[in-house]
Formats: sequence, C-alpha cells, structure tokens
Amino acid sequence: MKRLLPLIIGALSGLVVLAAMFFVPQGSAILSVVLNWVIVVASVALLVAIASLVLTHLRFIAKGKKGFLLNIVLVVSFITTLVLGILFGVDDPIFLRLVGAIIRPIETALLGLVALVMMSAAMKIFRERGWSALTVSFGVSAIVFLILGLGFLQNLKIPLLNEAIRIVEGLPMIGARGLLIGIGIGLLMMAFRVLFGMEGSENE
Amino acid sequence: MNLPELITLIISVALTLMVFSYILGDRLFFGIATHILIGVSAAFLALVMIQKVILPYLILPLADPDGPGFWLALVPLVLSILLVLTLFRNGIQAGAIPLAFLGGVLAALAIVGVTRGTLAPQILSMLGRFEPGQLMREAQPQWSAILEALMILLGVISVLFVFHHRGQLKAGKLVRPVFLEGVGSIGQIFIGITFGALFVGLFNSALIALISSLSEIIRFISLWF
Amino acid sequence: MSEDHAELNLCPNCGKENLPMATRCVHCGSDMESLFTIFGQSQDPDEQSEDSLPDIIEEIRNDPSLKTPAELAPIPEILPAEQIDESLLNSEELPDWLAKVRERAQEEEDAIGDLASGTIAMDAARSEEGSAGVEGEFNAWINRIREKSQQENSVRARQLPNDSEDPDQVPDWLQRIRALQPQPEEEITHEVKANPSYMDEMPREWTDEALEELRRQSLAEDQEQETEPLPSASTIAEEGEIPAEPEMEELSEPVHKEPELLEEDFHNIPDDEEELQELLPENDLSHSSEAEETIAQEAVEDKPETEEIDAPQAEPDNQVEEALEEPGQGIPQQGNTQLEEPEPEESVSEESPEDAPIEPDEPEQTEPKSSLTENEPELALEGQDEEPEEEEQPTDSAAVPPDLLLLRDQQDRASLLASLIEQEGRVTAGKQAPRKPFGRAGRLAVALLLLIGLVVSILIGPAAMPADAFKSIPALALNNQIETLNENDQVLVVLDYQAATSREIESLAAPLLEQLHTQGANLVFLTTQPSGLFLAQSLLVQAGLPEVKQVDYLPGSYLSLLVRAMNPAISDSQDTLTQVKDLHSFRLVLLVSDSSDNIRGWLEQIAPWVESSNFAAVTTQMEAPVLSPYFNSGQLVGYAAGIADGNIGSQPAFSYRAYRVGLLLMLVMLLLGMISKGEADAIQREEERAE
Repeated sequence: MKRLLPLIIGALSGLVVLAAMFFVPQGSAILSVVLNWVIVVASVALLVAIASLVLTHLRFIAKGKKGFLLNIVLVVSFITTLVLGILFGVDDPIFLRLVGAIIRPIETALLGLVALVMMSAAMKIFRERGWSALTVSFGVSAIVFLILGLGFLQNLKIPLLNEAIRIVEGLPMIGARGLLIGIGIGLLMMAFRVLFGMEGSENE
Repeated sequence: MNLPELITLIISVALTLMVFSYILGDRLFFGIATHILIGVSAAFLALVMIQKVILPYLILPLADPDGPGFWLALVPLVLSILLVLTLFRNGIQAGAIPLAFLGGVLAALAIVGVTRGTLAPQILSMLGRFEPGQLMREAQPQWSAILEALMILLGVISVLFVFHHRGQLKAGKLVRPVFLEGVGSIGQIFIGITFGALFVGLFNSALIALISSLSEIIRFISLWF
Repeated sequence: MSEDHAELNLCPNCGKENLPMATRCVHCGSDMESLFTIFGQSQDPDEQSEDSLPDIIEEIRNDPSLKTPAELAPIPEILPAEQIDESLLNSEELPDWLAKVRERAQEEEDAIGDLASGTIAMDAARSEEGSAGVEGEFNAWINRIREKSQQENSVRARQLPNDSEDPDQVPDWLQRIRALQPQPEEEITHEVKANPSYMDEMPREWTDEALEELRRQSLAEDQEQETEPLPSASTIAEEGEIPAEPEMEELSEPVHKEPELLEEDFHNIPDDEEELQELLPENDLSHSSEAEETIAQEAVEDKPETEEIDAPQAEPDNQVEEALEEPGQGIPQQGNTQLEEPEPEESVSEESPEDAPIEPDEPEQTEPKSSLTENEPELALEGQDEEPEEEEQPTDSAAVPPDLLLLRDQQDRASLLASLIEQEGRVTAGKQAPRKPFGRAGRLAVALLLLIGLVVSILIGPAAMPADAFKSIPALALNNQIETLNENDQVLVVLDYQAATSREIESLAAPLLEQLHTQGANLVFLTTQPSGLFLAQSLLVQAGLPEVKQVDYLPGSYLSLLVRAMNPAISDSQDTLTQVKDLHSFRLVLLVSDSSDNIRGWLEQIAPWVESSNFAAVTTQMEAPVLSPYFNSGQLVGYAAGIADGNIGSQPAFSYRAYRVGLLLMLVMLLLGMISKGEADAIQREEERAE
C-alpha cells in the first residue's frame, strides 16, 4: 500500500492534466491550479534539497570529519549569503552584483577547465576507443568543424566553397534529428509507463 | 576604475586563480572555490525560491482564509509538509507522494509536448521534403533536393536503428541481423558527425570561457604595471 | 598388468595379440579393421558426424542405469546407436540387460535424460550454425590424426609384447606415469581390484528391479562421497570455488604456470580472426582425438565411476581432498597421466588453444569441435554437462597406452600451437595494457601549452574578427526576422542561461538586443533562472539598454505560461507577478538560453499553442546542432550560436586571436591523437607480421 499510493497519485494527476490539455477551454482552470501546485511543490523540493545539503555539511563539521574545513567554508558562505539576502533583499542591485561577482568567475573558470580537459581527451580518445564508424566520423567531423571555426576557408569567399560549407554545416542536423526522435519516443514510452502505473510497480 | 569595480575584479581574479590551481594539482584552493560557489548558489537559490515562489504562491494565499486561493493552497501545503518530512528518518516514505504527483504531471505534459512539439513536426518536416513541390521545379526534377531528402530520411532512420538492440543473444553477445548492423553503421556515421559538431561546440564554449577568465587575470595584472 | 593383456585384441589371421588401436596385425600384417571398428571408431569420418559419437557417449553415460552395465560390457556400450543395433542383432552374445535397457529407453519419455538431451540439442544447434568449410577441415584433421595414431599404435604394438611378456617388468609408459603421480601404485592397484570384483558381483541378466537398485546405489554413492577425485556437478555447484570439470582444472594449470600467456591470448584472438581460423583445426585436433579415439575406449573403464561404487572410501580420500582443495596441484597430476612427456610447456600447448582463443570472444568458432570442447565454455554454468567428461579421465592403467600414443602426436601439433599462441600473446601485450600516451604530467603539459598559447595571444593584442564574417544560415534568418519587426512590436526576451556561459551568450545576445531596441521594439524580459537576476544586469549594460529595465523571474519556466498560452482569456491570481499577460501579443519570443533542453521545452509546450508568435534562440555553439532540426522544421525562425554569428570576435574585449590559437591547438591535438593511434596500429601490425 505504501508504494501503491504514490503510483495511484502519479497516474491520477497525470491523467487529470492530460484530460485538461485535451479539453482546452474547460480544462484550463484546472490545469492552471495543478501547474501552480507543481511549481510550489518543485520549489519546496528544491528547498528541502538545499536544507539537506547544509545539514549534511553541518553534521560533517560536528563530527570533525576529514576535510571539514571545506564544509565550514560552504556553511559560512551559505549563511553569509542568506543573511545578506534577507537584509538587502533578493532584488537589491548591490546584493546581486556581489553574488554575481562570486558565482560568475568561478563558473566561468570551471568551464574554462573543461577546455583544458578536452585538450587531453582529444589526444586519448582514439587510443581509448579505437577505430569504428562512430569514432572515425566523430574525428573527421570534429576536425572539419574546427577548421571551419577558424574562419580561414570562409574568408576566401569562394562561392562554391561557401556552398560546400553550408552543406557540411547542415550535416549534424541529420544525426540530431534522429537522436531527437529517438529521445522523444523513449520519453513518450516512459511517460506512458508513469501514467499507467507501470514505472516502479515492478518493485511491488 | 572605481572601488566597487576594483573589489569585484579582485574577488573575481582570486576565485579564478583558485579554480585554475587545479591544473597544478592543488585541491585545497580549488575545493574552497567550489564550496564557496555551492554555498552562495544554494543560499541565493533558497532566497529566490522563498521570495519569488513560496511567499506569493503558498504563504500569501494561506494568510488570507477568506481569499479564493486559500483552499487551493492547502494541497501544496500538505504536499510540501510531506516533502519536508523526508528530512527526517521516519518521513522518507512520505516524500514519495509529492514526487509521484510531480512525476505524473510532468509525464502528462511530456506526452503532449513531445508529440506536438518534436515527434510530429520533425517527422512531418522529414517527409515534407518529398512533396512534389519540393522535388520538382518547372516540371524538372531537382536532383539536389531529391538527394538531400533521401539522405535525411536515410540518416534519421539509420540513427534510429543504432538504438535498436533487438537481436539474438549468443554467448553473452548481442548478435543483430546483418541488415540491422549495416544500417546501424550508417547511423553511427551520422551520430559521429553530430557528436563531432557537439564536441567542437563544447570546446568553443569552454575556450571562450577560458579566454574570458585569462583576460580578466591579465587585465587585473595590467592594472599594477 | 593382466588388464593390459585382457585389452589386447587377437589377430583374426594369426591369433596373436595386438593393441586395441592397431589397424594391422604387427605379427602377420593382416588387416584388423574389423577389430578396430568394434571400438566405435568409424573408418571414414564422413560416414559418421563428428558430434554424434560424443553425444551418444554422453547419452549412455548420463543414464545411471546404463553406467554399471557399461563397465561390465565396455565394448558394446561405446558403439554408436546404429552399430549397437547391428551388433545386438547379429551377435549371439547379446545380453538381455541391454535389450531391456533399450526397451525401457524407448518406453520412457526422457530416455536419454534431460542433461544429455539438452547437450545434444545444444550441439545440434551449434552444428547448424557451423560452416561446412570448418567441418570439412575438422574431418580432415580427424583423418590425419587417426592415420598417425594407427601408425604409432603399430609401432607401439611391436614394443608391447616385450613388455607384457614379463609381468613383473613395468612398461615405460607406466614408469612415466608413476613418476608423475605421488602414489600411482595405489590407484592402479585400486583399479585392478575394483573391476574384477565388480564384475563378479554384478548379475549377468538385468531386471528392472536390478537396474533400479543399481541406480539407487549409484545415487547414494554420489551423495555420500562428497570428495571425489573428479567432483560431480552437484559438488562443484555447492562448493563453487572448484573448477567445474577435470579438463577445466587442467586448464587452470597453465594459468598458474604461465598466466601471461593466457591473458594475452584472451585479448588478442578476437582481433585476429584469420589466425584464429587457422588455429581452430589445431584445437579440434586435440579434442577430437580425445573425443573420437581415446575417449571411446577409455570412457568404458572410467576410474571415477569405478571408485565411486567399489573402491574403499578411505583409500582415495586424502588424495581426493588434496585434489579438490588444491586444483592447481592435485588435478594436474591426473592430467599429466595422459602425457608421455609431461612437461609443463606441453600441457600449456595442449590446453591453451582450447580455452584461450575460443572461449571468451569467439564462441561460434567452437562449432566444429567435439562435445568436450564445446562444453568447456559452459561448464561454469552447466555443471551437469560435466559428468561425461569427468568420466573420461584415463586414470586407469588399461586406458593409458592408446591415450599416450595419441598424445604424442598431439604434442607435436600442440607445441606448434603453443608457439603460435605465445607469439600472439606477445603482440597483444600492448593491447591488454595500453600504454597511456601521457599521464598527469602529459595533461599538465597540454594544459600549460594551451594556457601559454592563449596568454601570449592575448598579450599580443586584440585582433578583430572581420566585420563581414561568414554567418550561418540560421543566424542570417534570425537577422532577417529581426529586421522585419516594426516599431512597438512586442518581443519577449527569455533569459535562461547560467553564469558559466554568460560571456558567450551575452556577447551573442547583446548586439541583437541593441538592434531590437534600435528598431523600436517593445522588449519584455523574463528570466527562468535565479541567476538571471544578476546576469541580466550585465546583459542590459552590454546591450546599451537602461539598467533599470525590469527583469521578472518566472518560476517554473514555461509551465507558468502554459495556461496563458493555451487560453489567453484565463485570468489567475498570478497575473500581477509578471508583465506577461498574453503570449499571443508577442511577435517574437527570443530564447536566450544555454540549454537546448529548455529551448525544446518552450518549443514543445508553448509554441504549439501560440502560432502567432515566432520563436528564435540565442544559444551556445554547443547547443546549435541540437537546435538545427527545429530550425529545419520551421519551429525556430532562426538562431544565433557561436562566435561568428554574434560577431563576438569583433568586440574589443574578446581576443579573436586567442580563440583561433585555441582552435588550432585542439586541431593539432586531435590530429596527433589520430596519428598516434594509427602509428600504434601500424607498429602492432608490423610486429605481428614479423612474428
């Protein structure tokens, strides 16, 4: 029963939304209410996750686990930001600038590290994966798009070459479309499983 | 450069250097930077959620018992309480109900959205290339358009066959029919092309971020020389 | 020694003794084919399929009611089914018990037993998959090995009479065996004792009751004797750690002795299918000879079976327990009894071909092999198939001579195999443990190379991108769409990106926003990400828009707008929270996002309901390929992605030179990776060729 109830609730809520979307003028009000609930519940879920994160780090600090200095850093930065946000308000430009001054450089530098890692990965990818249709086409495609990214060929301004570049630039669309359709079908199947209570029912 | 900008720049450069210390094998400064990021981001997120969602969508309706939204706000309140219970050891099971509610609603939205927004338009677009108006011009066949339409159709179908894993299991290996293997190999080529483009795209984004970070550091250093 | 004499065949011409395997009399030279065939050896391998004999042996052995009589009358039991029929019809010595057994076998639904039928079905399935070429090759090998074994039998037969003349004189082969075994005399003595006593006790005529009693006896013995020298399947299944079959235990011996060789074979063979095909006959040779020549004779005198029933239990227990506990030590002794010259390398050469190349990666290649070989990969799973093979261990002294003679020939071929496999293993050493092009230091070097290249490029100075740079078709389409907008047209700008990609996104979006603002469009900003609250400030500054412009946070992203998209007439209490009252009033929805998933969400959930609005996107180059199908289908009127589309390179804050240097370095790294892989492959091929 403990597992049956969530399945029933999930299936019911899904069917209600599905019905509301099919009967558009009449079901809009119901859908609006349900979607507001979804937004609130999702936000609360996020808050619960944040609370759990902070509690975990507080527990680490209390136990004096190895590396608790970093836990202290996290908790201090969390509390400081929270206090400042409560004091100034979320929409305060100074507060936003301060938060931006911290988050933006770190995230940008982390993404920059990805470039360095990718450089190393580019060396190893063929050794690790060997030759196959996938790896060869991947390598050739990557090289071609890197060359195109340099802009040398485009700057030649040769009409025929430009046409060829247009065709080459359109090639990834084919694979992406196949992937999108495949993902869409998979998502559809998963959604139907949830709606009909099949997802997770095997654990019963 | 005024003082706030200078302070912002100093903070920015210091945090960037802490992250880049990872290249040299440092874990302490890198860890400090990432934990600062997590702490600040979590707090900011919590603040925004409380101020922009919880207060107007949940607390305010509940604060007005005579208002139209009071009774409607009770449902998310109950679901939220069930979620909060998951923080405690005995209440973990209770969290399954609100999560099931979320899953059900999102599944229903996905069914409608994927069908109307991705599957139907993409398949119709692919098949629309075979319309006579697309393939013929002034009663003459447009061979390039025909070729392109065929290539897209073949490519998409072959990509789908890459993920078709039905076959006979022999000695722990999945043996697919030769036809499927052949079509799947063609699909792998198209996927490889797409992945190559994605790889270059990701490197582009990362490279731009790296150049921006380095430019910040150089700009900061140039202030003192 | 009397056993040796008992097994010798009399020449039909001169009446003198010959070895059972002798095809011609060593004394008068007359043909002894008729005697030879009595052991179930087909003269022409084509007359009898190679997999039928082992199947029948297994079939007979798996039936417990047939096991004991088989030892009483060993020769008829090993005959193929057709030959059994013929011999029974023609022979006056047809035992009644066999007739009853056959009657009962016909009556019973599962006469041959589930295990045997399963094995036969498995073999049949495999034989269907086998190619005719491999089968023919296999038969050719069988012919050759039979010829050689017959020749060697003849040679051996000339020597044996001398040995057998003096009963006290120990033959060479027995001396070798004794030298190999710690207590060979005990086993042999036990064997000699067991068989005669057994034969005396058993009834000549078998009734149903007697057969049932015998079956019960056999089952009881199986349950009682937990530590058999060659453990039963159930014992193995219980213990789990012990190798499933004597052959498998023998296979474990080379693993102990030369583990590298086997590991290398394991990794190498799948890549060299041609060589594997060449090796297969060799594999077949070793096993088919056992299966079709040696086993047919030896299996009748199975030592395990004899011991299970008759041998005093106290006698073998110690050895048996040692053998079970130390498969690497105890069991190989039995395996070595098959060898005339039991050198470790020879055992490797004999065993490694069958487990190394075929078992892990090319199971289909085992098709032409005998049932022994076919069963080996599955022994761990199908322990019940092991019983027939277990009984085929030639520990009986009477069974050793022909086996030894065969193995001598096998050794020649197996040693060749061993050398081939050893060479292959050396080649694949690099494949098994691929040399890493660079480790930590290498990564550091690559990272420093890129960093130095970028820093130097930045320090050199700004290098602007050409203003008329080549733009992609979607970017051109987006520009066209923006140009078609009129003054006061509503444009919804949805900010949905993270701080990490803010530099790229803002560089792309800012010029477009500036253009929109210049055209007089009425811009409405929303952010679906909390970070958009502070990122919007930077974007608005770059776009030259007043910083005071309001940017609303939209919780739940497009879900908040879904109902308003579906039904513009609806009014809810949240209307006051955003500026967006009616999505249908916007001519363009510009999605500034670094996530193709979020853009897809807008296109899936919102766009189908708002056909009057056009949707466009500004995104990172990484997401562009995923968005291209939506542009192709017309769901997106255009999108800008990448450095060229947004003219980022023309902005002074951005070093276009450094960007190109980075791309060049990545290009070099990719090419180096491909070249190094190609070089490694070439070296590997060269080594294989050289070896």
